[in-house]
Amino acid sequence: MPVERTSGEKERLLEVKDLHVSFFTPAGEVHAVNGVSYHVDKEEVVAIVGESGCGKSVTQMSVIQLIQTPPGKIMSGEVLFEGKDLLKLDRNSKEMRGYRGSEISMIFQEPMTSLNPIFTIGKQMTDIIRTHQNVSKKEAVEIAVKALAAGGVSGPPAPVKNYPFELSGGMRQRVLIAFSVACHARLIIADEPTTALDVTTQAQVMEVLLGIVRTYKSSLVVVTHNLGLVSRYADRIYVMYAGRVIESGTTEELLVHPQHPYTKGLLNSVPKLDDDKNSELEPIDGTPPNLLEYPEHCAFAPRCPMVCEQCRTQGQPELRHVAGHYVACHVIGEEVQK
Amino acid sequence: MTDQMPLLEVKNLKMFFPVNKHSRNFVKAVDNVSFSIMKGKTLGLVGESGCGKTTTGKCILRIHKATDGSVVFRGKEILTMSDREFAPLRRRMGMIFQDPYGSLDPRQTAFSAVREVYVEDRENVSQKEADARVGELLVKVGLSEELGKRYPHEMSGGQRQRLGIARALATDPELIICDEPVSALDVSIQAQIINLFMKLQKEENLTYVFVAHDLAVVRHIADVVAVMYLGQIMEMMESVELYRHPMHPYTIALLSAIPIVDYYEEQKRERIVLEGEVPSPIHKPSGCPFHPRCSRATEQCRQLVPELRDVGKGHFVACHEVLRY
Repeated sequence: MPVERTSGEKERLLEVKDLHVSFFTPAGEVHAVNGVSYHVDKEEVVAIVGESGCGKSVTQMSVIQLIQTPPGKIMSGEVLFEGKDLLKLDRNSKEMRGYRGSEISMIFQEPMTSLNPIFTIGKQMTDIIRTHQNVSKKEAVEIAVKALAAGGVSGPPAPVKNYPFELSGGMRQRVLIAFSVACHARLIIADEPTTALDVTTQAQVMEVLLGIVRTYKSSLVVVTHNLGLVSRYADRIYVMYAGRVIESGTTEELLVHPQHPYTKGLLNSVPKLDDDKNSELEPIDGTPPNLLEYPEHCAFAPRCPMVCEQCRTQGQPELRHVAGHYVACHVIGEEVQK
Repeated sequence: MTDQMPLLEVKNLKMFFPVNKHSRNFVKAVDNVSFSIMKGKTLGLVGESGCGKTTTGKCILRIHKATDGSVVFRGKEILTMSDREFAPLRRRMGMIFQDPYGSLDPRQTAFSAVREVYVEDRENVSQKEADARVGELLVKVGLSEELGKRYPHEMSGGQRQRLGIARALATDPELIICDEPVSALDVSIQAQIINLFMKLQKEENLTYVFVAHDLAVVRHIADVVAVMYLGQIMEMMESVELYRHPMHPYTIALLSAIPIVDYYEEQKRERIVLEGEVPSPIHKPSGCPFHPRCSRATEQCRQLVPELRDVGKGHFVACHEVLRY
């Protein structure tokens, strides 16, 4: 359960400022991320929510410079990790590699693709531990076993001698969480960590992840399209659409008083466990925009029920402080100013 | 056929797959599943991966040859029929898959993909009539004429799923088996497709077997929900009531595991995190398949397989502990 923290004494761990990422494809430049800014405080759980293609994963990959270049390119922006701009480091430099996997650890949706099928879990873990820490093989194994136990994959015997294919989906995901524990990651980025799992396993994995974040005082960024998952675990939420953050705020603010028409639409699209069965769901009409063209104006305008003239003429709306959180919408902002 | 008779009745359906040619071990994918659906209604089959929900659907369509049991469709037993007898009935059943991309020919436009099915099902249909009807079908599922000219790779996930639905509808089916039709879609698109399913059901009086793992989606669309675990139905009931008063410990745990969007509701909800993993269907636990993970398991649960019994108002539960009261 998210713990209320008093504001003011928070320490910034990660701050991303005005990030732009493009992919150069045969069809042209795809503007995947168009000026995303967000921050993560210490010991905070932040959720980044959006539909496929909204740039939520690309943003996270950019933080640890895992964007494949070419075709991808980080065009501009800053990624400040404890005040140090990671984008200024060469992506292959020793310093960057020191951050990646150690200070900042990433957990992907499909754990099978992040694990090497031909090495045992133990071998893969000790490799990583010994890359980042100056320990003997024996000590590394001990750390691995402890980390696996913390990740809820305890034996007997601990699965250090197992190969990834011998484990179930939920176990594999917890092994990856154990990687972050073994390296004392300060920031864990989980990209759709439970999407490929069943609901009961999802609950297990999220509980383990949260437990670790609390115990080791790390911060967690969860990238997801599942709003339910967010309401249970996140402290703050950023909603992304077409490569931009369109609304952000505390979980309570954002889910109880959503402002942006897209956020509202997203919340209305989800079938609830207590809604009237005969009522129709209220989907958002249309489909997300093609990012081959840089959205000059509000990218949501073509699907927006509240669209006005200014949405199509006045450029992209900036995030403005509206009713307790931040919203990027011409119409909502206007109403409040009046 | 009268209205009182169910359109589809499945009785003691079993589907065992041999582990290999010479083995006496079987994967008991579906083990003694029974249910029936009235015309125009929807049965939701929910459960975690490997619980046999998809296999059940495939057995009904005879994609798998069921090991044992009976499937009665429109009053006729279809499992023992010859292929020739079955063919006309098979056309009254459609199937919609999770990823329509896998079931579409990449070199065929949307229009021709639907037309192919439409013409195949009918003899003596003129070119003109076929074109006109296929056009109507596409419009019905929300695809414009312009989209009909596109190839699958030029369409979005939601549009492809609409195309999959149009193809299923082309044979005028009465029963459609929908296998996770919305789980690969984004939420905003998912809602569009769910609404489409419900609209079509009203217009065409369709009957659905809706297989999904998302309990909220199933609750929304289904009239009756059957919760499956390791090839068996654990609990079955009218959908809204099932979510309000689940009785089986597995259903209770499953429902508590779904995170919900309502913030205040979520904060006060009690969660039951199930221990362990779903056992392998090759080595199914003796007795109640759920007993190793159940907090209320007794000696009886370890030995005897609980029967699915009516506990009143059409609420079926397979649990010794619940039935005791």
